[in-house]
Amino acid sequence: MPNEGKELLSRRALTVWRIRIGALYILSGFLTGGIFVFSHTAALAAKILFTVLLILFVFVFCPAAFNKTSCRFCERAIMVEKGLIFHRISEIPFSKIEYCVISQTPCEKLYGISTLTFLCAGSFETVRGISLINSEKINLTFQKGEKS
Amino acid sequence: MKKNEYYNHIHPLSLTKKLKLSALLLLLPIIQQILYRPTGIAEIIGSMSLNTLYSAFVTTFAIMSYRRCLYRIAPNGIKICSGIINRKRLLLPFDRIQTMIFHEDILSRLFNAAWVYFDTAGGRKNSADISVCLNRKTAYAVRKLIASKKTEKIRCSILNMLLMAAFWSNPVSGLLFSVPVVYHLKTIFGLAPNDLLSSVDTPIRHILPNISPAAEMLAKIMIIGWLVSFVVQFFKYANFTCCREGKYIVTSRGLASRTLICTKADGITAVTIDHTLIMHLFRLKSASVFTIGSGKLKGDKSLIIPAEKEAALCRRLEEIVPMNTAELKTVSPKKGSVLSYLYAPLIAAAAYIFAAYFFISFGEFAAQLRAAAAVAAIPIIWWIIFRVYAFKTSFISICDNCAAINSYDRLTMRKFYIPFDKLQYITIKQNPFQKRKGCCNMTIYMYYEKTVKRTVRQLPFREATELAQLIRSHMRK
Repeated sequence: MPNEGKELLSRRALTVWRIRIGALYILSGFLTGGIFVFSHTAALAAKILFTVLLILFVFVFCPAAFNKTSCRFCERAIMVEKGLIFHRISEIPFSKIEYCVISQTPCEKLYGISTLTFLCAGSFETVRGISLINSEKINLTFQKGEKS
Repeated sequence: MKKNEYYNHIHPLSLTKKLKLSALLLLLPIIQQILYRPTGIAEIIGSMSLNTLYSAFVTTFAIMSYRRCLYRIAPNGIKICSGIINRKRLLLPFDRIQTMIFHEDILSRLFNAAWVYFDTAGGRKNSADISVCLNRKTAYAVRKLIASKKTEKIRCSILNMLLMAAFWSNPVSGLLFSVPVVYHLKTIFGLAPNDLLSSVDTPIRHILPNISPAAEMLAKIMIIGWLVSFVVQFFKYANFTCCREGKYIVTSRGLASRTLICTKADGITAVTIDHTLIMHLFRLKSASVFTIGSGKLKGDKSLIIPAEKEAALCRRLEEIVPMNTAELKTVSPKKGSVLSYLYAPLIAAAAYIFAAYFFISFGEFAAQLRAAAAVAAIPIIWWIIFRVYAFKTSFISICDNCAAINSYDRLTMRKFYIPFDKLQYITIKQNPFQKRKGCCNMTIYMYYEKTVKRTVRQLPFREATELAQLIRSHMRK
């Protein structure tokens, strides 16, 4: 099995998550502007709160969540771990995977990463931040594994 | 997408799917102009601006979705690339596809296209995994990939098809279809709705000469609704054929719109044999399948054998689906426990009698309500008769390679044949009254797109337990 045991998540995923949080922070500026019309104090408080949350998410939550997220090959299966507060470990045998979907947002395309979704009977598992090359390899391995 | 792989565009008719979602809102500017009739240019621009902007946005979105959706038929499956901002790529292997549906309605036939739906076990339960509009030649090419040696086609006779359409039609579904059309007849064609209703005056007056005007109006509406539903059902299921092609069961139906459904035989969760009370009078039954992808197309009953006599139906079932339906051991409800089947209709009847007595005795519209009360008694009496029939014909049995359960679902008797490897589990339940009488309820669970359970009530406890153990031993093999 190629890349067995090797971590498949890309460090660029962390950058993409930080960019998304930054975009949310910009959007929150519009919300603060709306609150400003009614109350200056409330708008200031909201802005401070959003800024604190931004710092927490970018420098604390994202790296911690990234360290807790992993995706690796096992013997004829994919092992997925994710979740910071509610940690979850899934082992998905290749034989139970119906098909895979590789998706990329524009931001993910810029950094060469993708989101891989494994569809099984009645459920699905999503892994975000896998490099595109690894996504293609997993897809190919699943197809070959399915044939054998 | 690999650079040396060639991808094709889907058919432009797929635009209609996106536009259909916003159909009413796209028509809003036109409806607004008809209703409010703005006089000046400023008023016209003011009334249309937002709606025009929305229409332009939806149309642009639909065109971009179409342009960004590409497909490729690979030797091992179908590859799809789609999405405007969030690009998605997937390869659906042919081995994993459980159901393929090829649907040609009037519009797609005009434009040489066909809607193709692929379903696997991994998709959503309410929609197909992939639904695309392809060129008809490409759709047939995909169809040929699964074609192999055919068994003889089973065709449904016109008379049986007419009877089946009549049994399945109900006034409510006909009314849902026809009410918007009738309502707009005057504005579109200059016809009044009364012109349509007056066409059923003579038949009603012959059958019910002294009927009150309110009941007459109700009867007219019900008849028209039933007629519309009948025509729709007939057009949907006319030209029905079914055959076995290699691993697939292929059914084809439809007069104006043609639908071809290919279902993998070894993925079938259950085969059901249905009949209503009226169908039982004609000794006709129909067979359907439960599998991944069945029932997702609107109004689809996953039919494989339409109205047939039972002997012919079982024989044809063995040809199409390798399932031996000869029952080896059967357990039926205990004699004398018919009352438990009648609790619901008897409670409804008691509530109806009380309400009728109260409103007719004390209400202001007693005379008008009497006719309505007489009409309302008919479904309750029908319900009671059906429940007695259900008690007599319910059973659970074991066959050579499947378990069979015959139970009722609303006003239809459904017989399920479930292969042992598709059975999930069996439960036996007893309430305190059943414990005293030595009865129980047995429930069989299966799964296709969702968990489905069938229950037979008031079975003798000892025999039911023995049968359940026998079925479980077959499940373990």
